[in-house]
Amino acid sequence: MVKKTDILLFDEEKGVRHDGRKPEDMRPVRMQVGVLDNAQGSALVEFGKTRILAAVYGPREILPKHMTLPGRAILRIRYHMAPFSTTERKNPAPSRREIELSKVIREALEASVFTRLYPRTTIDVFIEVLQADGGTRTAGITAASLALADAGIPMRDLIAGVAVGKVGGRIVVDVDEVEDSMGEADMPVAMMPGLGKIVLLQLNGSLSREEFKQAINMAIGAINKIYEMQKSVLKEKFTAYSEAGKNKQQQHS
Amino acid sequence: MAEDQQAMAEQTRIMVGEGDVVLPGDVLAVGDVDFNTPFAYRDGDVIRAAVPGVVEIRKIDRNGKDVEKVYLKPFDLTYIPRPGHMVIGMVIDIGTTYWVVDINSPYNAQLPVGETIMKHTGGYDTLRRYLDVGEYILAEILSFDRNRDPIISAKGKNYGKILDGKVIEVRLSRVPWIVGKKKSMIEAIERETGARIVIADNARIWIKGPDRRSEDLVVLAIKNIEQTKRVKPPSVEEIVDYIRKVKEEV
Repeated sequence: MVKKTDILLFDEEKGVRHDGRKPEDMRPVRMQVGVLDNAQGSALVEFGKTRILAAVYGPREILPKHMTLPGRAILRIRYHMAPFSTTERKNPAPSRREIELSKVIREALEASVFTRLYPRTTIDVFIEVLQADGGTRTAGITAASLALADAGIPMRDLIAGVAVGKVGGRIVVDVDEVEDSMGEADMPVAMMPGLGKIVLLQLNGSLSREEFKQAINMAIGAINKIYEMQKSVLKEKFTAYSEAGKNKQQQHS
Repeated sequence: MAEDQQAMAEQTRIMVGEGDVVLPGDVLAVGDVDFNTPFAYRDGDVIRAAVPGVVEIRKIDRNGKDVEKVYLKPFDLTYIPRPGHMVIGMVIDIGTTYWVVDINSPYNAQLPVGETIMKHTGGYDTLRRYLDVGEYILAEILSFDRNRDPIISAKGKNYGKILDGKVIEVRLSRVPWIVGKKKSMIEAIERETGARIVIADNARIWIKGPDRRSEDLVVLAIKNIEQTKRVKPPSVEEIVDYIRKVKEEV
């Protein structure tokens, strides 16, 4: 078995990372919307081995009632890692980390969703990490935003996110689990690319000013690619959907 | 002043075409263009879509001038009650002097005893005898605002408890397709099946036919229209053919 300390994080000779990617390369990204029938909107997003399912319910009546706000809808986000998502079993009870991530994701989504259109209601978003391999919060936001659009909830723009980091002295895009745990810095970024607004920015570790600028620019580049993918997957659902819909109907009957 | 208007006209332009599929954040138009809220919004000088939908451009009259207005028809809609709407509700709870009714909306409606034809003589049990949990009612929205739950009335003509037939739920954004132009679609289905169809504003449909078979036919026809996943609605002829085909098969 390969020990974590044996891994060469960045191969200066070849200019590639431990998995053969170049610094500016993302892992293969896959997206799907409308994967759940019971939810109003849903999405499945994969960044390499990271796999995340998001489901949206609402706007609907708030229970318990005391959480009701008179002027707007509340957003309730549950970021949760499945017990089988990591190599060692994760306790399914919400951890401190999951509660924090639910909060930062909620704040990012609140920047986009028009909550004032549905006063006294709730919009519930469930983000379930099926398989974790780094960058789960940004993939989670990407999936949640797709699911919200799929549910037809009015919002300013789609949100796309990616984690950039510093590994072996280099700034790299879309860090995975190994790079995250052994690298020098990890910076998740989420944006509304159409409006050019950053809605989530965290930094673990330290970066110099120049490194930060480089990291942000690389993140924006990657986010724009993710944004295009989000749009194409949604467009596909709403236009060229007709044949898939017919097949589905035939299967049911 | 005239120069200002000219400058404005030059900057004003619609960036999308009829029938385009747009997504949240997409630019619909720039400048002083009319659009329908809340499915689109203004971000400075730019008008953007807020929901996935199909663009429709209509000519409207603004201050005596013909201008184009951008309409966004969303793929999915949430039913928001408005006074005067006819709704089909399902009783979900019973209070001492009112019923709590689910009207397929984020807000549950209240049906007070005084708004029914029932003469209230005593408590919970009498209310339950008239209208029990799980039963459907055809009613009208009396009042609704952002601070209070909707109040409905079952007093008017044709309103009241639904005793027979079937009630189905469809996607709100597909209701115009099911009704058809000048009710043509729904009338064609009624003619073909002999059933009577009541389409409520909250995307619930009450079907009452001479027998169960005709009711099932209507359900199939409506589901067929609803599940057509394309930008334009199916034509009346297509649906009539579909009904006749199903009739022959069964």
